[in-house]
Amino acid sequence: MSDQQSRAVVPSVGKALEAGIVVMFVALLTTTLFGSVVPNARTAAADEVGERTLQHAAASVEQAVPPVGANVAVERRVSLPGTIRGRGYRIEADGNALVLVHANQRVGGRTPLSLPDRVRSVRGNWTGGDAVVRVEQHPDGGLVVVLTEGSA
Amino acid sequence: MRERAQLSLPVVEAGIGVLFVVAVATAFAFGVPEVGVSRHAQLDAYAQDAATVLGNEAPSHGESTRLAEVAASEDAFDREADALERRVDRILPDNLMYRVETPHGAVGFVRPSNVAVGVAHVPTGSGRVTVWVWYA
Amino acid sequence: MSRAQANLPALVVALLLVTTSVGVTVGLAASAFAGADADPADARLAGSLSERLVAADGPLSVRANVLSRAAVENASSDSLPENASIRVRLGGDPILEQGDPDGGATMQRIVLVVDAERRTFEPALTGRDAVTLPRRTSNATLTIDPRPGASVTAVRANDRVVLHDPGGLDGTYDIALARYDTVELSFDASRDLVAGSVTVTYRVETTTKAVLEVTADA
Repeated sequence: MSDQQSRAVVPSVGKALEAGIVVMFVALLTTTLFGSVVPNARTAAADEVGERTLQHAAASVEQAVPPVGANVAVERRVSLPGTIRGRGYRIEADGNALVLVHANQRVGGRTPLSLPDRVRSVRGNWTGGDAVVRVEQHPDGGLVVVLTEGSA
Repeated sequence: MRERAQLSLPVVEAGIGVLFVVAVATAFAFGVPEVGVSRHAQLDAYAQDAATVLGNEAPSHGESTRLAEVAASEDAFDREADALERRVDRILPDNLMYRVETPHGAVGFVRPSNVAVGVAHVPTGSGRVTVWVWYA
Repeated sequence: MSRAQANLPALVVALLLVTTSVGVTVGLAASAFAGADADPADARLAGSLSERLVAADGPLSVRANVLSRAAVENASSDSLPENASIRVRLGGDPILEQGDPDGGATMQRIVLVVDAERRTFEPALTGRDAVTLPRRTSNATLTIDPRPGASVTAVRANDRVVLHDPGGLDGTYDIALARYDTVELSFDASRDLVAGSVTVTYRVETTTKAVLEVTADA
């Protein structure tokens, strides 16, 4: 019976201590992860998604312009994500470039467009979801590219 | 009561936990996307260029373009196939292999199934001519 | 029965193992993310620019995938979008540069470069009053100056009438020809024409193949 008396702690208390340590560890790990690692990763991923969305939008606009000689009005649907990082965003036409505007500062960007000289201007904006690019003839000659919503 | 060495449970639990975490880690270890212009985009551009250049050439006989001439009939194909192959060989850079298929036959190499291949189509009066290119 | 206490260090070691593996995973994820940061803007811009330069209505093009040597030598950076570093090379020689795009994406296209040259000759016009142009061309300029007494009433290209004037043609005329055919010009005149009555100037194209490279860094 001397063995039992040389133990420091009763087994149940030992187990409780173990359980307590494990719980504290899990809490610490969860806090650390969700406090800094996960939000940073989410924002970085949103930054990438935003950039790829913007490039996909720019490529869609450039490919919507019909080749020379085809006197048609083009209307094409562009598939864009509804939200980025849980919030809405806007893609605007600004002169000869497309700009992505988002509430989070790190998500966003501006990219130049390479359009033929026939295109007089690009105007309009998209706010996620159903986006349509329309290429129309201008009454004075030339083409106009319009970014609009639609159910084409 | 014999003394038995016993595997301490926390180590086993921790071992399983580490295994789960490592399984998640391997998800990051594979599949890196391409940087810069992708091989597919470049190969498709090469094929489209070859198709455009071939499609707009003046023919050796006859009235329409050279490509329309080759695709017109089986006799025309047999006659012009060699010239077509030489022309495609001259247009494309040396590190590309190609296959041009017309409604009456094909010239070029056999298309492989395990590498990236770029493709372009040319509509002609007598059918569609397809051009495939891939890196040698 | 002293296992209860011996378990505590084992527990601590086990928790340390788990923490280390979590740390390693986060590090791996970060490095994988950095490797995947592909910057799609460069590739997209290079692709669009190359498509535009190669199109039939591009700033350097004569037709689709065919560039004119004169336009290439006078190329200006006005047609390039601003705020981007771009370099365009034809057959290895840079023809357009804006900024310093090293480290961007490169797109290559296959083009033909056309060198246009105008050749002039005076056909002998003996016998049939007809001449076959030695090269295929898309247009030609005729200077008709018949000697007094002869008048040229019509000019045909491969039996298609291209110039017609019952009062007599005299002067310089431009005619359009089909690029795909060899052309024979024949002249309807009141009497036989002598050499020197007609001067033909036509455009000859020599085409060479080249690779157009567009490097962009947005």
